[in-house]
Amino acid sequence: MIDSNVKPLPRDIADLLQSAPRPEMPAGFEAKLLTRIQASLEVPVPTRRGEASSASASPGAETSAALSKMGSWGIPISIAALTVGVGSGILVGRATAPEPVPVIAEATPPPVSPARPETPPPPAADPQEQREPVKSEPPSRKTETKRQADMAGSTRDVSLADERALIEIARTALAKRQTGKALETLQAHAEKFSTGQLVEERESLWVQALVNAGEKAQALKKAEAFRQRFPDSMLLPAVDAALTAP
Amino acid sequence: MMQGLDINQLYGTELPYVYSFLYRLGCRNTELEDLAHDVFVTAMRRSSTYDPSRPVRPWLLGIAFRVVADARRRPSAQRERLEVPSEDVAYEGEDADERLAQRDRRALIDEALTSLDADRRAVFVMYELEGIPAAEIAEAMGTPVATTYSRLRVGREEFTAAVRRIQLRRGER
Repeated sequence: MIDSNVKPLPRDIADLLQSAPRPEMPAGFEAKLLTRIQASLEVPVPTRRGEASSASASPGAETSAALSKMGSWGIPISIAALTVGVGSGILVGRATAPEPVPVIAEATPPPVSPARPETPPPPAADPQEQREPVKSEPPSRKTETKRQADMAGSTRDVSLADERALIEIARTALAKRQTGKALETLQAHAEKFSTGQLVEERESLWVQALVNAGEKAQALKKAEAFRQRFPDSMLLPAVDAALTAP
Repeated sequence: MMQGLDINQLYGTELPYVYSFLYRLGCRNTELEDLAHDVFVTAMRRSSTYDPSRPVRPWLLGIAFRVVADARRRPSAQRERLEVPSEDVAYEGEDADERLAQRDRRALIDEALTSLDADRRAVFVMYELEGIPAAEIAEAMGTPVATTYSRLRVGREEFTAAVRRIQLRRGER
């Protein structure tokens, strides 16, 4: 019950807020952040069933395992792996990604910690060094490979952005209990991107939407299909939670 | 499981909401990633304070609000916040117009939100954009319900006025 002193929003403002999509996470954000959180919490990185978790695994292997667990959840893995890279190894996309492109990970600076101490400015460069001409090198094979991967990635990113837009509309509708709109949007996604990169996320949202719509039987059926199709999904807990919600 | 909360479940279900909340509080880029990290790490470390009979989202967004407030109080905060250039994406395809319109609406909301102070902005975003009831916002932010309603009332007025100003400037009204 809202306080009577709070005036309702004008209709057009309410409509504006209703129709605004959620901000989109950049590609690779989820996996990169998860890796950082798990490192901070010292949580063992999840592995696929049957694989032993090795304490001596390399950072690259840990990232790869985390990415596998993340599934296609909003990530064009074969490209995102590059951005996630913790500076080691070659990361290859998951099985469902279209033709994974092997990409040579480049060394990236570690993420900036919010609690990092103040650091003094770097000392002025030696004037002798400044006069040293910069040597230009012809494009290497590595650079060419990366350029080709970028081109392939940009095409996939456009499609992913289209998919994500629909998923975000559905997610927002679900959060606002606009179940009908959520189901319609999920149906639209299914028609347009039947084998898209965000199928896993769509199906998990679909279960939640069906539960909200009171279609428990359909939700159970959908959840079972989800479990069969994505047995290692990180979204399984969300699906289970939706089914057990009061 | 860690004291009733599982990081994978929490992360899998709540990251989009935490991301949106931080974004709408004005966080961007590296700062946003750092703060999202802090939110989940703080949540797991304080998981004993979570009441499993209550919805998790208001509790988590309450943590997010405090994490942002703490970060903004740090002397280095202003230097770390970088302005993000506006999106310059070419939209193509049959739904290009709709996506362009979505981008404009989101930009309008983002700009209007900047006219609200931090407390009102958090209440407004939680109530209007995340659909969280005022009583749960009050609990999450540790404030009386009356204060939450007061912030919502002023927040609505300021947000509406800001949207009108922006629309006028854009020539939409």
